[in-house]
Amino acid sequence: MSETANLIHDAAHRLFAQHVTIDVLNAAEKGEWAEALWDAVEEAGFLDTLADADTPPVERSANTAVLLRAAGRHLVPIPLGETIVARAILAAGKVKVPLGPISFAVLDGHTHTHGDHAHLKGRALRVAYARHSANVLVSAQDSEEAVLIAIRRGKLSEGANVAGEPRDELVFGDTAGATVPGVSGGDLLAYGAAVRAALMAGALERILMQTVEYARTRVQFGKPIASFQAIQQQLAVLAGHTAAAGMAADAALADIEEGARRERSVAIAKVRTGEAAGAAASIAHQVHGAIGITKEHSLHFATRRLYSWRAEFGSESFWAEKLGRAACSAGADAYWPSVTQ
Amino acid sequence: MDLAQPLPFQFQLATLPPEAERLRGEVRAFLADELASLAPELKAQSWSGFNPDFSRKLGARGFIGLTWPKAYGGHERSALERYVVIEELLAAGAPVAAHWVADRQSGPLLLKFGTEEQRRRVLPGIAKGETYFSIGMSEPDTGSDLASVRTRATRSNDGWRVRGTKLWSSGAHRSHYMIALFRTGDGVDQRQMGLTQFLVDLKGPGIHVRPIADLTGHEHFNEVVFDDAPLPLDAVIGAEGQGWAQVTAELAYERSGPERFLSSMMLLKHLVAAAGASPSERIAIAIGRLTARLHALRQLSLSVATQLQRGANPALEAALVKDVGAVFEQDIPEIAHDLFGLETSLASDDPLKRVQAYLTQVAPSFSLRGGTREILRGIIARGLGLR
Repeated sequence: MSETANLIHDAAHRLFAQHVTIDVLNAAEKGEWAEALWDAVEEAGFLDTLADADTPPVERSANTAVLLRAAGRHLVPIPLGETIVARAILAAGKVKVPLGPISFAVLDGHTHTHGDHAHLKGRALRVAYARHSANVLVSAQDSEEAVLIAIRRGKLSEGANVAGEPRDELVFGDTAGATVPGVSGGDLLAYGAAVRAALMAGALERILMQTVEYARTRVQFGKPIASFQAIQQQLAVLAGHTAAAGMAADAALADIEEGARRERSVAIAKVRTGEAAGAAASIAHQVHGAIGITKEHSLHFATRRLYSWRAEFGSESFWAEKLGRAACSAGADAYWPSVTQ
Repeated sequence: MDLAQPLPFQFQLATLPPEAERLRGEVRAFLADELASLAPELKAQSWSGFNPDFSRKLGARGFIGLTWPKAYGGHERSALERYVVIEELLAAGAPVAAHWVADRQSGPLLLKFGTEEQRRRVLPGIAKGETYFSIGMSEPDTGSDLASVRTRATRSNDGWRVRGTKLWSSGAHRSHYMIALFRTGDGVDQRQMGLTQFLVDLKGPGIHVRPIADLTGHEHFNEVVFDDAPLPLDAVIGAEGQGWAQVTAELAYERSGPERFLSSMMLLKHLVAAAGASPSERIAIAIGRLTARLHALRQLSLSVATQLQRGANPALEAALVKDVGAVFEQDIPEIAHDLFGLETSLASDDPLKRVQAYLTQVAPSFSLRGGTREILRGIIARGLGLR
């Protein structure tokens, strides 16, 4: 890690440890906005890790990976990844970046541009933290422009994922917003998948740490259950999934600004972290026993988010089909050369 | 729980240097010529395919002993350049078994622990692709529990006498040497004490090599009987009684490479061919999932190679790669069966059926060789602080 990445790592963990307590997570799941957390994140300058034009792209994406991995470990209940990506897209498109949380979503509908302004019509489903955000960046699947629009201009219906994170529906009539040229719904989907993969990588690390700690302290048959081979072997499998998922998530963020490679790297990351999520949650709950499925125990904060995040911005099957079709249309002889590219 | 703590294992994205990518082009061009007529089911044997002619050509091109000093016939290239050569050989299904053990672990072991005379005697021949090695660790009563070896080397007037049996020594019937772990002391306090590594010339008297056919009928592993076999004094590698530490170092070379997830590559390639350019959704998803796993594994493995290049000892990371890699290699024949349900046969006209027939049968060995799944997961558990 670079020195900057190290600083971000330490600062992020300090900040999140202070502001993302179990009480804060519980309050967020009841619909409360984690205002103190958001203000601290904004003040720390974390929102522009990907937007900062003075930092080389390689370092920007590495810094963002470190930050989102830490956010995933702490399960931060704010649209951090969404805002970081939206601010980077807006800055690159020379659009004035508004204050506060910015969510983003793929629009089921259409957009068209008139001079400086774009109009859009349609709806966006399951938009993260829309009710707490002032603005949302949307683009239709095959659109050639994204539109930044004030959320109060649309009609909002509240919803949530199984982890209680806000996932709201937005409906826009013929509404005007600021245009960001060259950003399609497909691009937003890939950015969203990269963010979810990074958060899942962090949450997997949290689960591994928490389950190892539990196994070392829980005593049965007169000794810690960590001393049983049946437990050891399961935790080794959990470690393997955690390692592979983390590597894939890092690779996706490293390629996030590499147009041609981005979609493939994101697909790999979303498939691998999603596969790890199911296996890891299953092992963590098995090792924790009955206490792990109680509301009182904290394991579920991570496992419920993994169950949600693996389905958001394209599931494993969605992205795997893209990878598989690309491999098959390129043909068997091109298969290995493409792996090393 | 302090969430700021680092995990006990570290993997970081690695980038291959330009010289490694240049070398990749050379290796690919060489292999395209050399392997054009090799049958797919022989390519599927991967690092079990024994072909001395091929090994000699590889040596002549400078692709063996890549990282070793030039004084011993090596090429003084980086570990990452070696990584690229190895992954290209394995992905292409090159028959590398003849020189494989010598290049991967025997040579590096001798460079680390051997005497100057031992190095000068064998390393140049290995680098030329002419001198082959096998491993003498397991015995009839010693598998995962390596410290229980009983084959004993006893001092005689002019050297050593060896009695006992080594088992599963791949390629011993066609190798020139074996690096063997023998008991030379009693290890009263600790079983790991009193073990010594020896450089054994397999043509010597009192050594009987008997091939053992595997379940496909292929003969690659062997029983090697030492019937009061004499060895010279200077056959000892490193320090007498330090065999355990040395053999542990040797196993680290054995566990970290791309051979730990590429064993079924030939079948994956044939699956892509059989799927055609416009596969069904089900087949596309299955191939996509395998592709994602392959990419992640390669990045993990490259990270280990980078750590080795830096001189670190990523033993836990290597165990993780081998464990995750073996599951991947073993899933490929099962997924092939799930997708196509073919009645496979080594005698089929269809190359996919031959490749699948071979790999389905040998896949169980992928989580046995080089440390069983259970032993590796035990190593990982220790790394996690569970034992």
